[in-house]
Amino acid sequence: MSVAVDFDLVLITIFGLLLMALTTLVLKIRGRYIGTFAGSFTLLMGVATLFLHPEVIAKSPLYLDAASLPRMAVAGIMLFCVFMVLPRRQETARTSAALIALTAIHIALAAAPDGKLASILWVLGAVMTALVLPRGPARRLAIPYLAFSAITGVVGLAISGPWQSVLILLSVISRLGIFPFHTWVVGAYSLAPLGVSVALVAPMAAISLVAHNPLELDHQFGLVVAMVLAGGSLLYAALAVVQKNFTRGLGFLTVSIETSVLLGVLEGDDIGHLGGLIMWGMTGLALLGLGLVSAGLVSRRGEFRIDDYSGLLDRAPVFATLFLLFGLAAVGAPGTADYVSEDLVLHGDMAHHPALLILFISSVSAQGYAVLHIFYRLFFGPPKPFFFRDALRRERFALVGLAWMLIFAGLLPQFLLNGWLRAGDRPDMPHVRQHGDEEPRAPGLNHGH
Amino acid sequence: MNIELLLAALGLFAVFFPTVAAGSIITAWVIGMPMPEIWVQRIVRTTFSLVLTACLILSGLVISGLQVSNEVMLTHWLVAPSYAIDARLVFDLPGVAMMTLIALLCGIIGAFSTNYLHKDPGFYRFFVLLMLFATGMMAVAVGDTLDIVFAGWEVVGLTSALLIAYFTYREAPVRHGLRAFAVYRVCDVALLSAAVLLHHYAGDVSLAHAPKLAPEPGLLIALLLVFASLGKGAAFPFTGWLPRAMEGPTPSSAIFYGALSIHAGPYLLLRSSPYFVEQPIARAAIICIGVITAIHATFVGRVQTDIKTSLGYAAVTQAAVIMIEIGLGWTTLATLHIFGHAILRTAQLLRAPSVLHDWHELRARLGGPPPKLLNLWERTLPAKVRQWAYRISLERWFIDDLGGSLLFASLLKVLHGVNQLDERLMNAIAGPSSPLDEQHTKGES
Repeated sequence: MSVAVDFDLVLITIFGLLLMALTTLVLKIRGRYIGTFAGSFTLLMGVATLFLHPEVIAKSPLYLDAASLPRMAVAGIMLFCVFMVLPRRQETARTSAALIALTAIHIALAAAPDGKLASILWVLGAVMTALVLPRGPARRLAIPYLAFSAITGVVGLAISGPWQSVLILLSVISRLGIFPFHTWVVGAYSLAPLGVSVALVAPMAAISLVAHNPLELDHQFGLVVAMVLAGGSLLYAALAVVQKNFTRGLGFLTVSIETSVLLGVLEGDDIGHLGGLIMWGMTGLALLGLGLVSAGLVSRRGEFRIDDYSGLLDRAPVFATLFLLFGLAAVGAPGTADYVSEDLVLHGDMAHHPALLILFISSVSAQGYAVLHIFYRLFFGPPKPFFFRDALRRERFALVGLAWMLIFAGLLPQFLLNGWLRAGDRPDMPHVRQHGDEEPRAPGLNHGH
Repeated sequence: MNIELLLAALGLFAVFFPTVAAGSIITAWVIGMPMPEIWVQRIVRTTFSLVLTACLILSGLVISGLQVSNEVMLTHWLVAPSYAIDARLVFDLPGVAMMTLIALLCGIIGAFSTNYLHKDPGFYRFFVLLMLFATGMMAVAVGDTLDIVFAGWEVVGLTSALLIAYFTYREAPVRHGLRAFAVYRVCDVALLSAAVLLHHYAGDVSLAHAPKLAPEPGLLIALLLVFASLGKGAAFPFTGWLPRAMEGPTPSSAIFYGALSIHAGPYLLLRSSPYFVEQPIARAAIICIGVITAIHATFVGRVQTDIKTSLGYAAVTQAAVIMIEIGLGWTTLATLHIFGHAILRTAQLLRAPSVLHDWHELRARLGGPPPKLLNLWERTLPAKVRQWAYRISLERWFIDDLGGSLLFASLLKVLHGVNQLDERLMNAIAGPSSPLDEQHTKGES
């Protein structure tokens, strides 16, 4: 295979996905067929790109590094699982096309070589997100937040100086639905079809904007921001516990976990940042699994109340096992991939600030409690007299496979770490601060292209 | 054969084989071919017999002193630039003895439970959790680094919470399982923080050798380790969850709250005792907490009316005494105390369901009620003081009420307020739903 072909594997994937989205929309192909094909295709291309030599990758017109390259494989797995598990009523041609196109945009955004392209993709991502949400309260709720995110993002990418980082951070946290912008994500979980909302939120694509380089914030200000975010994460985990409705509880839990991931990615330290990037991928997969299991439950009987017990264990033991597994994986339980990434994050910059460290760990701990609380309320308690069907074969296939992957990566994490290190091994990579080194890294999205 | 290699192989087998066995039961269930009970019974018995044999060989090797070092490096589990996590086990005498105790007691509980839980709907769940618990405890027992100990610690906490809620169709055990898990999570924050800070300040997280630390970080880490031990050890002010945890099936109560899990806290202090040598404040804290817990649990335990709760408080009292021994530096005595207490309490808790039968049998053999031999010192107190002590002990020193009503109720009130505000904001932006919206939104149910 010639080197020229190798260069374009990412571009081929992006344009391939866009073509598939267009085909779905025009020919009204059933989402499950085209979606699972698109997922397998992206995964295959992602794995192939990861195995190519870093020097070859470095010559690509896109900026491919540890933040962007593994995203293709992760996006492929996500797309495949979403379309395997998504309830039939939700996989309409329009939604399926939009989700496939959004995946292409996310891959391109993670690898955007300059601010201009990133701005365009950022706005496109916001528009597509609004379009994927069904017309009604969920979309009405999301639009102001997405508009705010798009405007601050575009302005932030256009200007330079100290305000750039502030605007980019605001843009990212409002897109992710992190403190204090959580309302639209929690609303999407409770007001829109859960499977679709999970497919939109779990990839945490907005992190792409800050994944390559840390923000240039004043040290003290940065610390205050980190403390506020960690405090917000703790608050959301606590709010997840006091909810009456399951989907709202899951929404709060998700934004709490997303905050932890963002804090990891924002770390300036080499190890912490690497841990954050792995956490971005692995937690995203665990959150997706958790969300899809939840979507499966909700699609069968509608909303559940978690201020009462639903007693589903006897009727849905497979769903129960998977819910617990993905929930624990998302909060970094030992034996799962997230345990390793969380460990790396904790040993980064956070270790220099014991107060932040304890607040961060407290929020992760509260998330663990929230997972078990929701699990107990859903699956334990006196059984209710209704028919409930456990996971279907296609659901089991996708979700059990995903669970095994998270466990395998957790037990043998060196494979995972090597993949990310290999992806980040660029000859032209900007100086990355080593453990304990005080030199900051290159700012913004200027990668020298 | 290289003796260190043999130690590593046996250690690895003892730690992970129960999980492999649990995995086989889960896999059979996932693929739609659940094993018959008799197979599970055989798997459990074989697993713990093999693990016990491995532990006995390990003990023999360690006692013979043939090995060069007690620490055995299994592998570099994770190597990143400028950071690594090593999978290291330490086979010292307390470690291998604890492993043997774990294998022995888990085996006994496994054998007992196959009959006790015969045809129970949660039969498979119980044995899977028991075997995962064994792995977690083994990791706590011989993990040389705080990373490994923390992983085991988490597994022990999770399995404990799931087994308390074993009778899933009743609300009380489920609530109590969550309560225990909440306490564990609060204390786990301290353990993980200690591990990270130790990495940061010392670069190594070995429990066997305390690195030289500056006074302030040294004290902080020591206090974090003390706090971490309080949850699992049910020490003051976290005693409230343990009697409630007795809602689980008797075999799990015996192994968790009589034998092993209750000692995980003191055992952590025992293993990390090198960190307390130069920290008199931390040692004083251990002793103070131990004394308060012992007095509290003794008083409260005396007024309980059911056997399992009484035994629970008795176990807390002894765990507190072990803490005092560790605080005073009597580590050998503390180790022996853990073993003696674990075995006695397991026997008592396993006999607990038959206590009435035993009582009647004793009565029949004696030809009347047995003589009262109790000569409790509190009977020498004035009647008013006794009455007052009885009242507050009956209320468990009001700890649960104070914690429940003051702390949690206020916190819940604030959280509900924040949630209501958020719901109002959401409704204000999203606006009311129209019938057309409903059509689009209700793609499900």
